[in-house]
Amino acid sequence: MVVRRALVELALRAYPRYFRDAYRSQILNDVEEGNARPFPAALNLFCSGLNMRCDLFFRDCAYAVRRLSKMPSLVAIVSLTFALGIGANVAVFSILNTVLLKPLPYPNIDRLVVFRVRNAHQPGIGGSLSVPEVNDFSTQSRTLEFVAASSPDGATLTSAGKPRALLGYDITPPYFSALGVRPQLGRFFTESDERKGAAPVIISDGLWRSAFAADARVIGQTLRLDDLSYTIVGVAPPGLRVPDAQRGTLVPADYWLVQPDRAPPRQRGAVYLGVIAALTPHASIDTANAELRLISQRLQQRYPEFESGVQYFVKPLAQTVFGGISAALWTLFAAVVAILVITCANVASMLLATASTRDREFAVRSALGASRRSLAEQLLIETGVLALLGGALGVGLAYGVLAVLRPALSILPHVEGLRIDSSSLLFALGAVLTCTFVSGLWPVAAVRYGDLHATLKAAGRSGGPATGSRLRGGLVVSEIAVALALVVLSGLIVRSYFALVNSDLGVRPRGVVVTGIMGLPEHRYGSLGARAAFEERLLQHLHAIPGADAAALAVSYPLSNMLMQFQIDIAGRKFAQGEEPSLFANTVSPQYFRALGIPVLRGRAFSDDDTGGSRPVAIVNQEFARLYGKDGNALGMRIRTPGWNGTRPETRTIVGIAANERTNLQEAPRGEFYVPARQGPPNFVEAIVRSSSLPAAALGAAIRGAVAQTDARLAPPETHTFGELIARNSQQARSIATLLASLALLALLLALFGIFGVVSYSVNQRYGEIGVRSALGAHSAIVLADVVLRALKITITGSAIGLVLAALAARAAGSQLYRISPLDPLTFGSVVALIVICAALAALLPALRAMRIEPAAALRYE
Amino acid sequence: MAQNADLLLPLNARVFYVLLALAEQERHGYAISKAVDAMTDGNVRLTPGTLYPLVHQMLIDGWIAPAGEDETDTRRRCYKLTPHGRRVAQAEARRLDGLVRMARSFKLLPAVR
Repeated sequence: MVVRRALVELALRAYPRYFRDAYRSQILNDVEEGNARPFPAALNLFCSGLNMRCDLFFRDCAYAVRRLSKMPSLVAIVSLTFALGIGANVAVFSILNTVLLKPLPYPNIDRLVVFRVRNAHQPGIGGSLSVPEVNDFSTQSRTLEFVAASSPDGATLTSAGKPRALLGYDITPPYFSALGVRPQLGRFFTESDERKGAAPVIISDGLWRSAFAADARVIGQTLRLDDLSYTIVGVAPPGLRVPDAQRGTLVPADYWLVQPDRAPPRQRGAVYLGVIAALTPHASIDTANAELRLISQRLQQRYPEFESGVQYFVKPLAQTVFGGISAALWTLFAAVVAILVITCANVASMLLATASTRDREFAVRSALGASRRSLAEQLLIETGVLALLGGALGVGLAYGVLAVLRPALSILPHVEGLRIDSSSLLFALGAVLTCTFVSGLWPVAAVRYGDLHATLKAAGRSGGPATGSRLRGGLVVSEIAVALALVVLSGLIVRSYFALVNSDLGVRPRGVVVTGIMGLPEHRYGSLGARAAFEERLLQHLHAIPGADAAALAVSYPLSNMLMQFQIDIAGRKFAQGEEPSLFANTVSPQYFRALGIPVLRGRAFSDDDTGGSRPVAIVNQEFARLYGKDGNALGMRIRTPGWNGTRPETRTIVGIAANERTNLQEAPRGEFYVPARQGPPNFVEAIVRSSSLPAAALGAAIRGAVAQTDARLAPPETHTFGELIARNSQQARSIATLLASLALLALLLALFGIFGVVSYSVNQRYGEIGVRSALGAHSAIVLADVVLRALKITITGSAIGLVLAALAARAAGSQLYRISPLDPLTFGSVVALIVICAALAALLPALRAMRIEPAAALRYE
Repeated sequence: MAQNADLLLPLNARVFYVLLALAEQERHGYAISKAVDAMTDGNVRLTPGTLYPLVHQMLIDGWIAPAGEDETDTRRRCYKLTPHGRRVAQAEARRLDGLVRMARSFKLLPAVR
């Protein structure tokens, strides 16, 4: 039977080679003679073969463990090295896996997109649309469904107990359908919720638990926000975060209202809505964007005054949420892979050192009939046992590291699920196998087999195998190169971070405390007069704080996250359509510039005399004056500012030019204008108070007290110092820089350890030679220099290769650098100096030992 | 081999059957499994996958040895019991005999008439 024979031959492959060779023909004969059924017979043989292999493998493992237990110091050093390398990899992989690789928590995440807007006349990409534009896309697009808008909203919960500030979103009904999530109670919004009169609200799981004690009968009950009543129609699922389409982040919210909540601007040109949508089942990003190009063109023709040069497109939501962080996380991942390379090189180098002392053992064993292959297997299994031990330690290490890092990582998207899970363990296993082969194959290649005579003759004499030490030198060179590249890269990123936090915001931050946004409820502060009265009273209370040097109200300040941007006309200047100046706008009370320490360079600051009844005025910043002023001077120019939230458009005379302030840490200042609060009282404000005598905490408490005195029904605002704002705005950069710097330090230590190992080994090998040279009168300083110079030769070769690697790595990471060149000579130079000095120090210890070698002892040792 | 055979006990039942089959006469692999099959009324079946790993181990331990001068027929190699293998089998048989006596004295088995 041909089939039977073939099957049995195949099954026999499961056995180890020596067994197969010895019993193949007997087994074949038995199977034929017994006329066994082919499949059961083959299966039986196959299982038996595997069984035998497993037994052999475990026997080899047991042997390896027995052997290794005789070398506890090698086991400790190697497994600790592996633990550091594998632990760093597991920790960073877990972060990467949690943040980037796990899908966002929406069922149809692959189809979710975010609207983006490119305006030919402005730099950058926007994410805001107006109400009519959202309607255009909703009705005209065939590739997108559930086109849904949202805009951030804040309100004070006034139902029960103390007033509490809540964060919410105004959304259009298809919003939750686009996300594909289901309510845990009640329903989400429908089209009918948009009609006037109904005031439905959906509350978050958190609000449901905190304000309604998780009562299942909450549906139909009333929620009072800013003293207005809303009917609860649904409760969102626990832990739901919703995309803030404009900022491209996932945010938690307390409640959701139907979009045309109060009286939003509905005209084209009032762009303030973030928009998400879902691709229809047959559409792709490309077909959707092709269609959006057509719709954009149509809109440009129909509404040239608003849509000229404006191009809409969509981007996958996942890409928008992770756009900024993914490059940084992949950089970290590249760093840990580099560390794994160094780890393996280090271990390979240590194993090479021990392997050359084992030449004798292997020569004897091969003379006794062990095949080259089985000796290689034995060596690999020993490395594997060490790697497995190191991997187990490493997972423990990663667990501890993640526990320590968790608070620092909280800025990353959906990092709350961060833990070491089964995929992390699988990754750890992969790292163990990689380490086993990458570091285990070097000694396998270097060990000499078979030549019993030569090996036994050489054994016991110093002056080990030249190939081994050359290999080790090469390994250490590569360690230095990789470590240098990593240290340079982290140096660049750390310096970027410091450049970021030391950005000149244009303000003098010492002694200043600012508040978050205080929204004035529409039904009580709908009129300009009521707002002005509130702001007047609040300012009086703020000025009355003992120790307050200056106090102001504004709708925005540097890093406040509140930005308003308007297109304005300049009297006497004609701009092509779509090229009108688009400027940041701020409404401020008179002491704004004094409180923040922004110098008014020309003209004057606002005063108490700039009131609703006086001439409309404005102050602009230096950048505005540079762009639009005559010879850099804008004093006396007249600008036409728009009205919003009940204020009127005005033609204003520029009466002052202030120094530039920066709205965020990264971007250069842009053109900005300020209008006096009394000439257009805003419906939300932030307070800014400067005091040279009060500590920040006391000043913050005093500000909250002043707000409570002014209106007890307003939720007390949060207060911050600029230090806190800068820390909050640079948290992600700090986390990444800290992680990368620690990884670089680890890489550096491992590489220095490698140098130390290879130098002390070579001193041991040259023990006799050095002794002879000392006996012949060589000065001990010469011996010292000789040893250190060898180390430096390795270091300098490694550094040269490392510089090239570093330049490539820095160029690849260029987008993550901020105000620093990827080839920054200071960073490159100081890292090379650092590595050379450290390497010399690492070599010094064995060199000092070499210096003290007694000639007589060395000769006896021979 | 100068090992004390008692230290190797108890034996794996299949190993003991192989020793019994070879105690009777020299046999090749297939003949061993047929003999065991016959001894046990078909209750113990030694497939090649079970038999040859045992044979291999017993050869290494020196309990059995290749028999016959004819080394050319690799398909049917005969095995015989070594003196050491015989001592091991005897030791196991004594151990089993002792156990059976005990079972009788405790009335687990009927007494021999």
